[in-house]
Amino acid sequence: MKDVGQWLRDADPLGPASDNSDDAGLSPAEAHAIRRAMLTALDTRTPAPQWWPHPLAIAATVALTLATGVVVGRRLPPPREPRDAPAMAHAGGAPLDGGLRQLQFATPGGTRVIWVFNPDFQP
Amino acid sequence: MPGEAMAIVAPATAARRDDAERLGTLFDAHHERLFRLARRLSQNADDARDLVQETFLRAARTPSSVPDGMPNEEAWLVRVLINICRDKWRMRASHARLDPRGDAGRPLRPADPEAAFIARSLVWRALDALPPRRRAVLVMYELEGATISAIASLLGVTPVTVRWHLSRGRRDMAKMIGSPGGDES
Repeated sequence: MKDVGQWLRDADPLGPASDNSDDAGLSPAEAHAIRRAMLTALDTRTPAPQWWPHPLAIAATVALTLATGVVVGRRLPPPREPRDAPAMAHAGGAPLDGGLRQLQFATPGGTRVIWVFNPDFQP
Repeated sequence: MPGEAMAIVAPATAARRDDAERLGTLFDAHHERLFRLARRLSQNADDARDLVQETFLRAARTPSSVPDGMPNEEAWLVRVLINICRDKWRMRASHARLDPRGDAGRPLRPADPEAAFIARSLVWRALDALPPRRRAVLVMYELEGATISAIASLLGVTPVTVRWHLSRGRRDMAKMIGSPGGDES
């Protein structure tokens, strides 16, 4: 049995057993046609811009955007903090059942405070 | 002013003339060797001609990417040719997946193993089924007589990679044509 190399050599289209003249190589006319096609392609190609490559433009745009963001961010005043005073949520004007009055409010931290007034209080 | 216009146009024209001259020399120096390789990598002489033409057209589209010096030029052209083969091979493989009744789906058993023609086409169909780089390694080693290191430098890979492709290629071919394998390198 033959090995793979021998199989390949026996079946080689350019080997001594080959009978196809097409396989021998490019004819002068074919070589000339390919050469001409190549030189025509050289003449018709569009020149690529060399001084400002595309990736560099993208990188510059990203860098500029980041720099603008940082500068604007530094110049803007910081956001205003909420006042320390509690926000009045509800002041119970009307007496509840039993004649009790109450005052409800929420602190900036979110704590809800309910004061119930003592009706018997005498200052 | 005509004088100024000439001054602007002249460098581009001169560069183009240099490129044309260089490509012409490149073609004259390498087209025969490239055709031989292309013929052994393709099914027929027409495909080989197309491969050679496409390779030189790629060189014409980006002449600056062709390195200087004879061995570097040759290596560049061989790699481009193999890449083109790979593109065609992938396209054919995807067509074969879409059409399983095609040539690639048929078993590689000849009806008459004694017939030289059938045996030859069997070998070439098996070779054709290999990935292009592996096929190129087999062809260069077995048919062109190139050494492992020469193939490695042509393809821009390590000798270990070349040996691996050679071994896998022989094994795959042996499996397909029913020949004893050959990890004999």
